[in-house]
Formats: sequence, structure tokens, C-alpha cells
Amino acid sequence: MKITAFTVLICLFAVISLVSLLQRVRRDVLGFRSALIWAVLWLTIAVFSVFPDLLNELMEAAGMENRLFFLLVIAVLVLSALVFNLTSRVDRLSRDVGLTVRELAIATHRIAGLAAERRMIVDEAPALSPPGEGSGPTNTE
Amino acid sequence: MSILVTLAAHNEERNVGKVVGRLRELGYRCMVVDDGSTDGTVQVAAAAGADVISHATNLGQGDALLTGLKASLLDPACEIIVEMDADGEHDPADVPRFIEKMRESGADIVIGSRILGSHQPTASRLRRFFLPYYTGLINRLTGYQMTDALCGFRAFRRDSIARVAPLLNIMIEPQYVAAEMFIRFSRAGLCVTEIPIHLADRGWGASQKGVFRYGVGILRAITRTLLDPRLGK
Repeated sequence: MKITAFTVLICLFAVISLVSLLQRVRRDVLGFRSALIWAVLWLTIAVFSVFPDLLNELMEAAGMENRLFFLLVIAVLVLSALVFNLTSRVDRLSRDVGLTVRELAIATHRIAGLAAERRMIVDEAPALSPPGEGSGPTNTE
Repeated sequence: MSILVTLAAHNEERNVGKVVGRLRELGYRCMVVDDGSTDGTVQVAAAAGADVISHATNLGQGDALLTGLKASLLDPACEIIVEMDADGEHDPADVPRFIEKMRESGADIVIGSRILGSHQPTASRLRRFFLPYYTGLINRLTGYQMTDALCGFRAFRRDSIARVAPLLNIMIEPQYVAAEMFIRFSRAGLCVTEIPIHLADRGWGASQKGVFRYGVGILRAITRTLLDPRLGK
């Protein structure tokens, strides 16, 4: 374990990010699944900054010699997975929004139609006396 | 026979009134699906005598057509649903020919053909060039014998559409609904026939469909539909 200013900075940033994630989950701004993905990502970065030798062991296990290249490959893989996840979610959301807008338009139209029908029935019905002032429909003749 | 004509309109205040007025003169009931217009399309269409359904936001012509179809299914009196453009390119006087063809042939869907009639005067050469290839591809996938699968002037038998109504909710690419609709409807056993139509110049404005984007979109819609596990055999 080697503590440098960079390690402290990364750990501080990770802690702030984790607190921010927790607050967003509590405020229901961020879903639990997304929060979990980001939490794992930040914890991994913090662990690697505190134990840099761990990265070397992983690099050797993966059969790579260049540390920078290894990090780059990992970063590209993680980002690709995140972007793929996001695009499929956006696609699904946009389809859901389309369906909802279409259903809402039809429902609003039906409600307006029913309201118009009701108004017509009320307008055509014979006027009723207010309660306590006699009973039955008023004779308009 | 009760006929309901549905028109999808987006910012068509200059054209929709004339089209609806002409349809009303011919004695047809009209439903305009306003696709999130920001001009006076809703007011003009309502003033001309159309029943108006409004999308809260702009989704695209295909979505508006699906809304029109679904809303028409809720009208128990309606027997035939006719879809046409609100921009004035389709002639309302052709509607009786669609009805006649449907009655004669017993088909579930009658589609207008610009190839058998006249080409779209406002469409680019590129679009006219690709139209037969797209139609050929859709014919191969559906077994239909159409000459213009992408024409927006169509008539549907209400009972037949009611039978396949759940399919209207699973359209993956509503923006390019024609291709997907025919693939799904062919698997559901619906019959299609066509009649020639002649297009007029649109009254005002220009088509909002980009050739490249539209072409790629149709191919994407076909691919995604074929990959959809919900697509029947």
C-alpha cells in the first residue's frame, strides 16, 4: 500500500461520489441498479489507487505488459458496456413514451367525447326543481 | 356503409382545412390526428368539421397513423377506415374507389399505388428510384403482390384490424410503419389489394421525409421486425 497525494485525491473523489450516489438514491433521482454500477466503479478505482500492485498482478494475469494499455482496454470495455446499457434503455424509453402519448391522446379524446355526450344529455333533460321546492320535473309550458 | 377517414397532420394548417372540407362535402366523417403541431392545425381541422385527436408531442407520421387506427377501432359504427395524407397530395375523390375495390375484392386492406397511377410530383428522383426495390423486398417477405408498398393512401376493413389490434401496440419502428405493418399483417393472414391513384401537388410546404434517413429507417424497420420473436410464422 502506497499513500500519495494522488491516492488521497482519488479516494476523496470516490467518497464524495458515493455520498452523492446515496443522496440521489434516497431522493429517488437515481435507480438502485444504476447506483450500484457507479458505486462498484468508484470503489474499484479507489481500491486500485490504494493498492496499485493489485493492478500489476491483474495485468500480468491478463498477459499484458503495458500498464497504460491495460487501463485503456479496461476503460473502453467498461464505457462500452455502460453506453450499450444506456442506448438500449433510451430505445425502450422512447418506445414507451410513444405508446403512452398515443394512448393518452386516445383517452383524452374519449373523455372529451363522453363529456360532450353528458352535456348534451343534461341540456336535453327537463329542468329539475332545486331540492325542497317541490318534486318532479318542472313543467315548462 | 360507415366510413371514417383518418388524416395524420403535423403543422398542416394551410392544407388540412381544404382536405377535410372536401371529405365532408363528399359525406365522409373525418378524424385528424394532430401530431404535436405548433401552428393552428387543430383549430383549422376542427372548424372544417373533423374530429381531432392530439398527440402531446411530435412522434412522427407513423405513430399518428397508428393512433388513428386505434381510435377508429373504438367507433363501433365504423366499418371501413381510410388513411390519407393531410397535405393535399391525395385526392378525397378517390375514397369511393377504395371502398368499391374493398367491396369487390373482399380484401382486408386496399392500398393506393402511385406506380399504377402517377408518380409523386414532389418526391425526389432518388426516392422514386428506390420505391420499387423496397416494394419488391416487402413483397418477398409478405407474399403480397404490391407495386407501391409505401403509399400512405390506404383503406382497412375495421373487423380485420380489430382482429389483429394487439399488433398495433408492438410496432417497433412506428416512424416507418408501412413496412412493419405489412410484414406483421401478412403473418396474421390479412389480404391486400391495390388500386391506382393520382397524386396532386401538395397545397403548401414540403415533405419532411429525408430520402436517406427514410430509406435507412425502412431497412432498419424491416430488419428489426424480422428479428422480433413476437413475429408469427
